[in-house]
Amino acid sequence: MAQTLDQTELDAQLDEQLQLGSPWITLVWNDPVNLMSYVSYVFRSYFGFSKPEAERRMMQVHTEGRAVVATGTREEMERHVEAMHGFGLWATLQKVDA
Amino acid sequence: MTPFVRRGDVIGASFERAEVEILVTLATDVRSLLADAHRLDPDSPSSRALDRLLPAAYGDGAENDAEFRRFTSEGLVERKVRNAELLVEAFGERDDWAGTVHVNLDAAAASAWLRSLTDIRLTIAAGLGIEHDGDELLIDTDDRFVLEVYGWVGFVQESLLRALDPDFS
Repeated sequence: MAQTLDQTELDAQLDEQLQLGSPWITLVWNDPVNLMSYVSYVFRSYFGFSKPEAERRMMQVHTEGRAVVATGTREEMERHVEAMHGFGLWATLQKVDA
Repeated sequence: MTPFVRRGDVIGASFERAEVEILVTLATDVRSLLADAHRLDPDSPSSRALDRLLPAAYGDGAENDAEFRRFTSEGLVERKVRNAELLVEAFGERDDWAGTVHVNLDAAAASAWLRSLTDIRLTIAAGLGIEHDGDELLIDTDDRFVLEVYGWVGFVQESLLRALDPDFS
């Protein structure tokens, strides 16, 4: 089910992050265990996303294999990743290469 | 089990005694797994389960992952252990478990339950080798009961999410 993220789309996402001067991103990855409703709940309750936004990113995780859920400093992203692991979601952080 | 229903500030459901035994056993297993985290053989099945509970933050398999673990794993393990304990405590005293056991969860308990049910499912999935979408369709018949429990724990979680906020499911 997990598909690779379309390269053009990924580039567009990353360009946007770079323009905002946010060199680090938090990614949530697809896993076969977590319920779609739970992932949506986590995105709404932790990141404060609206329902449509949470659903959009949840579906992106589900269909594309991963989604960017936050951008910012390395320290901020480490905090988000730790929180996601607390929820039992598979999250990583990485630097956006210029 | 009767599905979770919201009554004012609490969300309640009734479980059969056998279902309570299953959830308590599973939560206790996760708790033990986490408590032994520091002395596991990296190649053991328990260690694979632990990798799902505490995944690598950078995925570089090197210094960054190790450092992140060093700074976060103790706190994460503590909180996950506490969530498992809260799940068990919601059922009250074992001596009082009759034919059906009623639980009432406030917002904090519901949040602990959602996380602990997730940790339980991650642990079962690691044991069954569920790594990709659809893997649960390829499980050996020997593991069929465990797979049914895995599905049922998902049902409990979905029911809780639905009662918490109808929009979540």
